[in-house]
Amino acid sequence: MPSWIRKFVGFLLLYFALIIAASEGVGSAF
Amino acid sequence: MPSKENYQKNYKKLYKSASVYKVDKDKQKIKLPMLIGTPILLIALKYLIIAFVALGKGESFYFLSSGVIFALFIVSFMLLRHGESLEIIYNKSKYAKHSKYPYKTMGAIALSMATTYSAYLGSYSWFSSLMLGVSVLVGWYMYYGFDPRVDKIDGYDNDKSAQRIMTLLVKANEDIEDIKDYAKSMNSTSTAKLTREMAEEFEKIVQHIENEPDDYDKARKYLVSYLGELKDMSETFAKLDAKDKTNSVVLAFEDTLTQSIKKLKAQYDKLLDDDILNLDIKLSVMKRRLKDEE
Repeated sequence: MPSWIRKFVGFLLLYFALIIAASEGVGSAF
Repeated sequence: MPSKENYQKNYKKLYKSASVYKVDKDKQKIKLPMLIGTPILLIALKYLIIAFVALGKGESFYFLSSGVIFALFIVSFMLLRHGESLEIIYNKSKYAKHSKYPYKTMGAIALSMATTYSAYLGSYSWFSSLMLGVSVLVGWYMYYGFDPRVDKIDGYDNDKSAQRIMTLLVKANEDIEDIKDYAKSMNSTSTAKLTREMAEEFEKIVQHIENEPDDYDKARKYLVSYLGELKDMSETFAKLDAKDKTNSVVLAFEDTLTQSIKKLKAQYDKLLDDDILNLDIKLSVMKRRLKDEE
């Protein structure tokens, strides 16, 4: 796998998970 | 502009925490891209806002929780930046020891824990929260990577030889730096000049070994016993120099220095000559082989 694809997929995986947890996580609990 | 002294102090600090043995001189200045990790900081901001909102609503549990998550994000951001700069040094060095602690990996774990906790407090089941945490870890690994965990020396895959050579080189470099420091503190300019010159001769030999670790055995004697003894002598002399001293001590020390410099120059030339001899042998073997082919 070329390194830029790996980086791209990694970036998406990391930041989507972070954004999902930030927008639907602790903030929506109260 | 940071002063040279400040820079050296910072370099020494980094050098210790990274356990990096030496960085190429022209590459010592690390320029870490400013943007590395900033998205983490932006998302952390969201938790800070949540913390304030929770505080406003009197939700102390959620206030504390989002505060902890915010702190974990900041820690992770700092660990990432530190790990990245150490990795840049590692990658640019001809020889380097891996960092003492896996900073980037620790950052990834902190971020993953914060994400899992945040999602769990939200509407997610523990399994989905865990999956979000895992995807943070995997994403981090693919995007930022984890820390290098092996010592390296260019051209040496064998860990033991690399270790042996690196130990010698790092000790030699430290001793040379010490000798230069002693030279700075000497009052007599001629002695200081000779001391510096001697340190430079040692430096040449060290650089030669960096480029050709195979010559390690030939230079070992010089870099282990002579360098150590001359370092001790310079230290003693520098101390004496601060007090009163007799002229005969100065003369004797300068004489030793001059002889050492001569000897070191000869040793350095010998190392180079050996290379020429090796090349000579290779050339004549090649010539003979080519002749046999005819």
